[in-house]
Amino acid sequence: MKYLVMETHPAYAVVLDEGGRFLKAANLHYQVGETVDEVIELQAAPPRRRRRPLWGFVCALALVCCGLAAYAGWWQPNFAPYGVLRIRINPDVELTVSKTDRVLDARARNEAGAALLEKLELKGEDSDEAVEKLVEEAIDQGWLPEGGLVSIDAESEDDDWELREEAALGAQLRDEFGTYFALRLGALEDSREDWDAASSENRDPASSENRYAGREDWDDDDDDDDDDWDDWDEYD
Amino acid sequence: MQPETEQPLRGKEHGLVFQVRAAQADPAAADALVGQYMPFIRSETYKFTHAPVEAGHEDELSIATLAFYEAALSYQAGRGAFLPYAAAAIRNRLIDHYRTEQRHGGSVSLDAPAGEDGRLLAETLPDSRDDIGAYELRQATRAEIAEFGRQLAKFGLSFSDVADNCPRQQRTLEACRAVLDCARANPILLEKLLRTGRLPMRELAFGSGVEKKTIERHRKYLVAILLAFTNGYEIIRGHLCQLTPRGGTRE
Repeated sequence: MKYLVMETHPAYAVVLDEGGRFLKAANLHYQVGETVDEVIELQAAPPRRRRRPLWGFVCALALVCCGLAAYAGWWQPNFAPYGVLRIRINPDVELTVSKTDRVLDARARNEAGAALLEKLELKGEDSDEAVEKLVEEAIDQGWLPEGGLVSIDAESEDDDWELREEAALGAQLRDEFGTYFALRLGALEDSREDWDAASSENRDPASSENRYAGREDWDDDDDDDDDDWDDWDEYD
Repeated sequence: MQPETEQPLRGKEHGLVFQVRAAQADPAAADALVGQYMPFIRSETYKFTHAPVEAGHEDELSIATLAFYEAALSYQAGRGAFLPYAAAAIRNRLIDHYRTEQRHGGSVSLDAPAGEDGRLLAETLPDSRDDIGAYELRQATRAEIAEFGRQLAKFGLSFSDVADNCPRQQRTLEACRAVLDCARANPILLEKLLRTGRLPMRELAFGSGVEKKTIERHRKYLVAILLAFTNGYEIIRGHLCQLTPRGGTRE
């Protein structure tokens, strides 16, 4: 390959090769118009980085988004308290659980509960397993004789979660222990009691009488001078 | 508290960074920077050769100067001082040069003594060259290159600009050659380039099948190479013997 020297500078010469490439090469005392057989080419400088003023901002935004996604998708369901399960045998124990039914904290509400929790490590356990362990331990320690009562109350801002959790725990304990003890599910019972109360109120006429109990002077605002209950008696 | 002598040094280094940045964008500023730091380049060359440049080390000085220029082009502020970086670049380039030279160790230099009479080997060889003819050819070539440079200047270009814009990848070079073939097959496009002072991109893209974006990216190089194939540059065209026209272009 031959190179035609087109231009010379103190540091380099511009040469044209036979293939039509213009190159920068070491100026080995070349003169313009000279043809040389060999050149020492300039080694291409690495491309200069473009300044990206928003790059830091974009990185920070991406980190924040990742953080939010991690919080909402992983941390919150697993580590943020979502509800409380209260298990009463005679020992009274309260379990704080996450949305994914992970036990975050176990707290005794009486001395018997503290004695029960002493031998158990429930943090990080699934709530179903934790309740099952609690009941087993209560049986072992003699707190729960055959025919005894276990009461489970779920409390959360999510009413559906309360019902679901109690129903699931109830079904599991019945599968595991059968009819060894009686089970009372708080939210389910409350909702049933509310329903029964509402229904009985509708059905029981005495409740209507009770509504007016203590009110001896009921003025019906008519023009006659009859007593308060006269109109009622006439109606009957 | 910093020593008082450190402040002027830092200011000097700061000024040098500005000079290097200017050299990265402007060939004239690069020439000025090289001229200003020639003693430094000579000093670094001497550290490597352990002999004065005048004692047969002119090529090493040229290579060291090129290395200094390369260092100026690739320097990024914030990654240390420039002069130590340039010194390392010079040293590495000279090491590379010596390794390359060692590979040619079996060859005999024409400057080597031929015998006991003190004559050089080159002087003993029969001289078949036509020195006068070669001188005249070089003068004609210089005149043609000067004219070519003036024509390029009308397009706002210098040879350095063209060299910087020259494609480095073979595939891009092939694409540029396809554009050249198209222009040679359609001289009206070359005339249009001279008449309007602008590269007829749309016609060239259509005729060569090369993407307009590629033509735009290498506009400076294409202007130069197309200009070389207009009338009046026989010597340069004769030098470009590898650029033979190929088929496949569309009229």
